Amino acid sequence: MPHLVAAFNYARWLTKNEADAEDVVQDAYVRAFRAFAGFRGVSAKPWLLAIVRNVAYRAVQNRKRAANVIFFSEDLKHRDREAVSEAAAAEPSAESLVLAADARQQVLAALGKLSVDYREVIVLRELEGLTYNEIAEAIDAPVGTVMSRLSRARAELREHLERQIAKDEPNAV
Amino acid sequence: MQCRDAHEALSALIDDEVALEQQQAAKAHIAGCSLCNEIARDYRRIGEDLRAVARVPLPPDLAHKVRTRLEAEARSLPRLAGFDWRRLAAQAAVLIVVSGLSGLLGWQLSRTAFETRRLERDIVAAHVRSLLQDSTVQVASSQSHAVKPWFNGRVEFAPTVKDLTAEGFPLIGGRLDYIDNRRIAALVYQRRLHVINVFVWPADASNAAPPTPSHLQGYNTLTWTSGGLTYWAISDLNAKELAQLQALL
Repeated sequence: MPHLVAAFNYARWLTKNEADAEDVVQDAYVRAFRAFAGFRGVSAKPWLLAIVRNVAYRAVQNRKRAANVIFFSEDLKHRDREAVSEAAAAEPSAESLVLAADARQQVLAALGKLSVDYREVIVLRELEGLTYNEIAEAIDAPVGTVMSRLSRARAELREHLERQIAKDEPNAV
Repeated sequence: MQCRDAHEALSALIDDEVALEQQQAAKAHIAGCSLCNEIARDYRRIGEDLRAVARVPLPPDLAHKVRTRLEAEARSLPRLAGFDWRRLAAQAAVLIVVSGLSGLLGWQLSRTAFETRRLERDIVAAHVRSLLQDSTVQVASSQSHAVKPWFNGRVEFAPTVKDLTAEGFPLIGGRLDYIDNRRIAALVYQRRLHVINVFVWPADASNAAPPTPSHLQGYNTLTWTSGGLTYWAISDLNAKELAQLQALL
């Protein structure tokens, strides 16, 4: 299954929910399969990610529209924390790396705090290594927008992390 | 280049996506600016940290699930590769017979019947769907002068809205729905515990049509055209009382 890892990762960061991301990915692949005849692009990855994005946005919208859906934000936070500890567990557990791993978890939390517009460009650039042109194709925006969003997203990430460190400082001293 | 402009260029510089003519100026500034240097270092480290921890592991069965969905999808599509000639011949024979028959029976007639059935199915689906929601209405009011203006700008006609509480058909409210490929007005009335949906849209032909009752999946329906609007009333209410509502509207 081509690009499945990238598709799932992107869907998960868009929806912030693993179960939704699984549904989104399945629907997106069916759509991609149906639309493949109309595919005229050069690279399949941004094209596929664009489909994932469309499906994810619709899923999030539907979820918002359903008036009686209660957001178990605490539950989600818990799940994020689980993901964090899982990710941390996958790290080498050498003592010298413990502090570094701790700092890295903060970067996860910071990414989660970004608005979806900023979050997705970071995911596509830093995790998927897409070029600006490819990102522009995936999110259906001009390259200039990609550039400025990435710049602002990075600045915001850095701010979140600095604030986090400032909060942790008193404990450390 | 000023520090503030450099910040903007910094991110693109890290990604090696700065236009050539800007590169020199940006690099020259950053080389001599400790703040910009620090920010660039932070940006790079954030990227490394993200790559180390933020990739979400693939659920082990997802690839299988996707493959199953795609296989089902592939089966539902007409086969292009690997022709099954015998099946194709059989299908062609059936097609010839069917098209000959429908020609004999009158193409227009069967088409109209098909359209009507499709419309009836749409009506039932919209009715049932409305009952599945938390609320059957988007605007809840028994006041016709509150419900009617709500449709302004939402549909391109003004549906007749009447409060029939006194007659035993209290108005619950209205909502938009989608029937027969168009956006239509749905008015919801109640009779005791029965919900009645009245769907309204501009008539295709301007001449009035008398009420025609029908029975579908256990629901009673009544359709009529008056004042250039087509109405469809549907409910699990008995046909007689449904006709009473029609007479009041």
